[in-house]
Amino acid sequence: MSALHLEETDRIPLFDFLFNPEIFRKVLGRFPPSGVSDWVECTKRLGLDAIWLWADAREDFQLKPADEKGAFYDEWGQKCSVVKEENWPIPWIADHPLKDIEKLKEYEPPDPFAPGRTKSIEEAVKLAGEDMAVLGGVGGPFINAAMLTGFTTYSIVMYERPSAILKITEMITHFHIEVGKRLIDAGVDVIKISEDLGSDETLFISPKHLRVFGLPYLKRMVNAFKKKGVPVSLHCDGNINAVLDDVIETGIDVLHPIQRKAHMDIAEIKEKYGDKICLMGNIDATETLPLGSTEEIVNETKQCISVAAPGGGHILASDHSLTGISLDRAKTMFDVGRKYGKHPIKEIRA
Amino acid sequence: MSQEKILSKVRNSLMNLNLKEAPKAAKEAVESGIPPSLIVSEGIGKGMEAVGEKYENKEYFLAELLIAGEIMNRVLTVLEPYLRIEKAEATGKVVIGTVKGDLHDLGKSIVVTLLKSAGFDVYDVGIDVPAEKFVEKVKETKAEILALSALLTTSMMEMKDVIDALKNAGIRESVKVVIGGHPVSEKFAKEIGADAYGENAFIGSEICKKWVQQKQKSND
Repeated sequence: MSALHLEETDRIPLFDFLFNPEIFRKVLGRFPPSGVSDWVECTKRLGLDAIWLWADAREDFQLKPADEKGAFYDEWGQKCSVVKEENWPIPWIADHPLKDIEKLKEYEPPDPFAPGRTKSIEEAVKLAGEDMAVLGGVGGPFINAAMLTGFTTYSIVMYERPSAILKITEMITHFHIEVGKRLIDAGVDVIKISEDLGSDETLFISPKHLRVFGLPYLKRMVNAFKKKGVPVSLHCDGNINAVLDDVIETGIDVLHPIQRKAHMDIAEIKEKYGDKICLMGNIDATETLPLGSTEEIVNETKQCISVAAPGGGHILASDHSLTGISLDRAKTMFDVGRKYGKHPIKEIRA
Repeated sequence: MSQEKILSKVRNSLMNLNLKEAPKAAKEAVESGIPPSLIVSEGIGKGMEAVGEKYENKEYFLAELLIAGEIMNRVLTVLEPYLRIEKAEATGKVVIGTVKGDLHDLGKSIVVTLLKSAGFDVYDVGIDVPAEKFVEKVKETKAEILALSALLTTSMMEMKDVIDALKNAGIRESVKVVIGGHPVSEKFAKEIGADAYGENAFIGSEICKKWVQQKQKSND
């Protein structure tokens, strides 16, 4: 937790999303994980310092089958394709409940106060103990609104009927604030908001639009969680350089994952915002980690530490997740973190 | 109203993302006797180029590209009956799809829009497409170009399988392959034996245009 308070720790903390069946098989000898205890155990055996888990669906919710291929509807009415092992565990949303915006009139969002939402988190908090931080995951206002409508509908409606997009975003913000507050009461150490604002190249919507349709809501979420005394980590893929000032201004404590391929420069971000936020990620999960040589992984990790860790406020992680990255390769990265990530950070020549 | 003035109405309504105005302008154009192929090239094509410039200048973002794509589809729906009568020569034929194991289609749909606006016949085979299906479609349509998309690191190697399948079917030499998407790069394109890497949707569609021009020149 010291890293989040921008203080130097004995060593930089290690984290990642363990989205990889091979890792569970090799570390625990089984896949899929049988429950929260397997997630915690796998995290422990890898020697990581934090675990991330979503809030659960409501207790009595049963996935509704959507087709014979195994697709299903989630609690929001989003049609999710069956999750293939290599892309586990995030389902692809194949159809959107508000693709036809006229359906907004009768749309009923899920109830944030429904029983059962904190079940996994409560168990994780119990099992994690003192040495592992629990990050409670909630959704982001922009990306979840765009997923309810689909990107094309979102874009058109944003121009033609902006009030409808605001209404959806308001609904999503309310849900995730209330769920997040419950996760805090259940004992999470950090709230992690998953918001994606851009592609590798550019933002999904313009900075001008984001300042209306996304950022004010994000700020409200951050405020609500911080008011309850918990730091907030923002997961945001893509090239967000054009709105980075605004993003930092929402009051977030951690920025993740700072993607290399999306032109996010951790050195620049450290220099500009290092006194305000903790930086997490930036080891290239697209080329270096899955395809590079051991030497390349070692060098990139060393370089990242030497730039981001001095003075504290750095958490080592890939710049997306461990999807498609072998256990050995992930371990190489974490081992470099253990070896070279001890404060005070010495000059490392990559 | 002069022909140029009517065409500029189509162009501007697309460039300014006017969803309601664009199909009306296209209808007006076609009813005034302007050949639909000219409306596609001078109206939609030029309008889409202007949208592309605005994107490069960071005036437009992905949302605006998607709206432009939707406008183009609506305009093409208006023009379709007339286009069929005219039987305009297409610029070229492209088979496009997202490779097996990958369900993402945002980037692909933007490329489809740009290719259509440039007058290509586009055969979109969808998402999660196995190698054999790409081969089959290239054979069936005799397309000059195959465009492959992927967003996931876990599915990018599938692109190599598609290229190998083209080789095995004996049609690798008859089709140019361009790849695009988050995990791929120039280097990766070379490694798997693709002909080009489209860093973004605009570059990808420009590559296709260039190939077709080269082919036409060598045929002349």
